Amino acid sequence: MVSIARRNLFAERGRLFISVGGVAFAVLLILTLLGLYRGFTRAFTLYIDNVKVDLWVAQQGARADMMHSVSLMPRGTQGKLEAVPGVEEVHPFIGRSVVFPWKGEAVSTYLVGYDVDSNLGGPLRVAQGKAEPGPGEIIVDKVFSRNKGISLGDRLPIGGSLRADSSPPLQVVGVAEGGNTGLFQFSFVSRNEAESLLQMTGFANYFLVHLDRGQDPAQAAARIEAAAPGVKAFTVSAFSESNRELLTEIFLPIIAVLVLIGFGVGTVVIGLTIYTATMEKSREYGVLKAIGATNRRLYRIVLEQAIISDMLGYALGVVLAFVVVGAAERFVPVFVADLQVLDLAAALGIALLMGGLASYFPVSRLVRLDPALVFRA
Amino acid sequence: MATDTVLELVGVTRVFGEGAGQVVAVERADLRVGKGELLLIMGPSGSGKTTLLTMAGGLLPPTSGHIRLGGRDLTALSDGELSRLRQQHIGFVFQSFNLLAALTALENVEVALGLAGRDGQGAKREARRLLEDLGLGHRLHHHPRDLSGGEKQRVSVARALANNPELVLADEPTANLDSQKGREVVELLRKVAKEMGKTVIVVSHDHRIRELADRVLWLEDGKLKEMEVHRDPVCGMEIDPARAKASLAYEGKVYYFCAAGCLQLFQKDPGQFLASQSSAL
Repeated sequence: MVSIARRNLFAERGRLFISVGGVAFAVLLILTLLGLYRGFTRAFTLYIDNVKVDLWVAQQGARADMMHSVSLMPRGTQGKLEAVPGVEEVHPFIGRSVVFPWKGEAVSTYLVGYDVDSNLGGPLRVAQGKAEPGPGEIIVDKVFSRNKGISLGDRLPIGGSLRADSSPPLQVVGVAEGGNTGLFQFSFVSRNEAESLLQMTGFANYFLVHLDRGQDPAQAAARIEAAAPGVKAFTVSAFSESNRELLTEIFLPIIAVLVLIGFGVGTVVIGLTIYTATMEKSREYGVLKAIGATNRRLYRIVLEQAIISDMLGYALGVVLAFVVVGAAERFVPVFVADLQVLDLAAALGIALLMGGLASYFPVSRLVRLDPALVFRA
Repeated sequence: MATDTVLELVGVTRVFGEGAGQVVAVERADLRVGKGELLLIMGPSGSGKTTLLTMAGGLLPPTSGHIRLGGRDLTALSDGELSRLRQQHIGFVFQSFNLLAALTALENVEVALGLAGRDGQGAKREARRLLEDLGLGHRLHHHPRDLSGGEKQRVSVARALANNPELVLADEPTANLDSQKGREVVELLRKVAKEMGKTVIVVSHDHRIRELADRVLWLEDGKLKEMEVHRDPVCGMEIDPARAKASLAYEGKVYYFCAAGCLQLFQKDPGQFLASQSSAL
């Protein structure tokens, strides 16, 4: 049978445009937010996930996330950790957020001092310049470089009055990728440089632990905590998760509210357009009822209209989301979004739910439709 | 029920509202309409014509009484059964044509076939044949907005006939048409009754239909009765009560007048005119 729903929809292009536009806007908003959330959570721990160690050891009682960490342990702890059975080697990790003046503003970066020889804790990929920073040299993240207008050869006055000597500012010798968490970017210097710059000689913020082959990280963590009081040992996944918690605590409620708003806007727009279209066509629905259409058949027409609007809006919304995310990543370097199949499926489910809810009120009106309506002039 | 009786109403009453606001739209209506009969029901506005038609079409249940179509008691059927009955056994023709605006003439007829479970090329061929039979072969793919009033009503008739129903109910089918197109539509409905053997009930104010109907009934204040021929007691002109300029109840009978002047003359001396009317009879 000819699709009345489709004919009705396409006969009124303006209304269809509004309806599809409403859903597309909602899907765009929802996908962008979900993509942003996914992107941020992935980017936030990308560095941690790629440091090739078995355990991260922090000061007990300190927050485990690097952003807010005040974890500070004497270097002597390293020996205690190395003595724990199953531990192969231990590397001190120095890292903290620093602020320095640059082109008239105060800019911040998370400065990591790493063992250049082993490259443990170093940049994930170097896109430009040297792969290893020498004395007085720094490698910055690409996003940081683009955002702040920092180029190879620039000299960054990091450390300020903290610096133990009067050495000149650090020279940018490399630009790395994979160090953008969305909230901040990593910069890398040699561990000796960091110790001097941050006056961390004799201390470490974390210890990176390699275990003997075949050792269970969780059991080793328990042994470490027993052998070295005052420390807390994390497996990589646990450390990654506790860093993500910060993001989840801050952003998830905001994103949930915005997704809800998107859902509401989409539902209201499609609901109003389908409702007004149904009411305007109530006489035609009456005619269909008179000539033998069951209520179920009428519901199907309304639902089909909602679903068609939904699917067109969804398709447009997905395309727009990829365009917007792509453009944002290009023009706003700090923007990290990751559109996953799971999120596309979630947005599809949300769009279908919008269609279902949107057709509820028109359908409930059709139930009460007086068939005698068709006999009125 | 006689073997050729298609529609039968037995003591059908329909009441709207309750208490002081109660309105009796149709009161104890009894009616039998046979196969191939063209019945015209006339009456003033608000007399209950549309309510009667709605009940006969299975769209409104009577408050009391029974409606039988082809032996089936409509008052005993569920909503789903009534929908199926309307799909296959009743065709509707409306005053405002009521075609689906987004569909072409052909699709409007196809929809009726589709509702009855007839889909695909067979339905398309049947819809095309019906429209061609009604002289609309050249307008198959036109939307209602591109059709004249007469063409729209013929599409509406084609849709009503799509599923070969026993009963066709037409509500003021000529009201939105000029006299020529109106006559064509009524002649078409007569053809539907006489050549196709359908039972056709037309509700109308249009006195031009009277000459084409097999029977005319009058519905007033919810009561159905055989149509009387009313004459102005002053000038003797035949009066359609629905079109009378004035009426007056006198000694238990209602008299209709062609003009206010006749009414005034009557009021001065009713006896004079009633006596001459009696002598004329």
